[in-house]
Amino acid sequence: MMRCLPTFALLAALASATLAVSAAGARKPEPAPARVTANGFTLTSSAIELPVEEPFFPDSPDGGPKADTINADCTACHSASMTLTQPALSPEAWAGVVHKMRDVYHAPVPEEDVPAILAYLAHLSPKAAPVRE
Amino acid sequence: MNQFDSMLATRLGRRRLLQGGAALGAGALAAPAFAADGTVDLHLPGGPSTRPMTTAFPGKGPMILQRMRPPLLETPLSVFDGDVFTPNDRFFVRWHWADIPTTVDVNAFRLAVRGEVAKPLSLTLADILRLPRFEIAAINQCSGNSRGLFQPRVPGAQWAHGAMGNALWTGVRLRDVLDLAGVRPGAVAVRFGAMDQPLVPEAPDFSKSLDLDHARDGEVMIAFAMNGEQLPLLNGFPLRLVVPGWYSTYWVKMLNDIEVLATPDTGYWMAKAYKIPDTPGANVAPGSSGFPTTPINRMVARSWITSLAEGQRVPWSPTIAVGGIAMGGDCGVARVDVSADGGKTWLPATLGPDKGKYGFRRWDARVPVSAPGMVALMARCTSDKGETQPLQPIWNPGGFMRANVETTTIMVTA
Repeated sequence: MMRCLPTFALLAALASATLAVSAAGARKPEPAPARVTANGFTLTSSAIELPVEEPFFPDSPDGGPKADTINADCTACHSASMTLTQPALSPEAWAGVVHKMRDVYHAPVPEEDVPAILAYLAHLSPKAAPVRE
Repeated sequence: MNQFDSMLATRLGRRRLLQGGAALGAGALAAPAFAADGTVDLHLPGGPSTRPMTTAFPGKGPMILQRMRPPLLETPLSVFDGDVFTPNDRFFVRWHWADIPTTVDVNAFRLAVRGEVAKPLSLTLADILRLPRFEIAAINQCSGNSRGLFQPRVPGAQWAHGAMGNALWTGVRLRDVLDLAGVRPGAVAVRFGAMDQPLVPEAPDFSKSLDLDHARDGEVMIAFAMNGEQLPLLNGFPLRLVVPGWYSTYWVKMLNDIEVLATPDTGYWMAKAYKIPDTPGANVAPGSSGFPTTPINRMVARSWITSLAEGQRVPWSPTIAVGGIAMGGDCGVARVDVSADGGKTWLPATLGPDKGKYGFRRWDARVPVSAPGMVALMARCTSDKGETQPLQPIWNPGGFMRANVETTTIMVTA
């Protein structure tokens, strides 16, 4: 299985490069989008630009586990907010989530990184109630 | 991936992060960071309960930001206090996988119809627009709407009540498209695939299926418009499935593949995900496991107070106006009752116009309030099938199908 790149760095670099191009006004005006019309209804080609990523996982504020592993392994596929908005979960529930990400969704998370990720997640949920996955 | 998919993938420049980092589309990254539009408190028990508001998503007004990527955008409850049809720019957004095409060329797009059919099809959008059309009002509600209110809490998208919306959909009958292709005898189900893809190629691509009889019921729609306009890209442009009365997981966005199956769908998204306890009300004791399960299916009756917000201060008068919306689930709304004493006594609300049995129904009432203080307001819907919302919440490990009577507590001031 391929090891995930430290994608956040790549994203940040690409984003700043793109913004620099925009700021310099180097883009030419786009041609009018294509249309398809039949029976009085028109569909027009659509193109959007999704927002740049929000901040990644912060280091635990009180000298707890660092965020470097979870940032490297988890944020390629989803924002940190998916995790940071979760309720307090038991260590077993967090382990279940990481297991699902690795084994069902094939997230390229090396097995040796799992303890660091679980330590970070446990620190998010200091008063975790026993909630099952 | 079939041949058509391959063609489409090439033309649309799908980005597969892990198949080649250089293919990362700059289009996905070019907008500025989301504006600081304040925050909202979703009142989720035990928290975390605060979410940013965002206007950073194309085609969307102020939305509750649950997740930037893949986007999870929730509609503020106050939006539902307007028209019973949810504006397109406030309609909730939910994607499973991060590889969402950000460009759709209407000339290049094709809808494949294949599998157990006499004549496989590759339909253009013009082909779709030339078919007989119909409109239907229908609520699109996430299976996990209100999951954040489950107690004990469960993992997943921590929605409050805004992972839903009602639109007037325009499109063509799935049955007509299936008939064009000619479903072979013995077919049992129809599976729907879409243009979005997981970033990790081995991950289960999103697809859902319906029994053939359901797919051919004449109400299941391939929609190209909502509320009179083409779909916002984030809501599935150019085509999405509309399955009136059923949860949103079946309403496949960016639909580009229809596969008629000779055997039931055993894929991950039908066989493993979106399963509910096969028990009354999808309810099990918290923490239990080993119960029989079934794919989530039809929606059930719900109602919400939208004219007053949790914690709102209201000057005292002998009666206070309260209003909101209700839904019957897979049928219409028969009645809505309201309570201003925590459910001890109930008064009938006045129902607004019926704009379609699968859509929201406005209701309004005046409730007596004897004295200033905290007042627990409740609404309770009874559907045309005679289902009345229960007072007690259900629990299941997926956080699906919450539908109990909700409480809005206001502060009535002297």
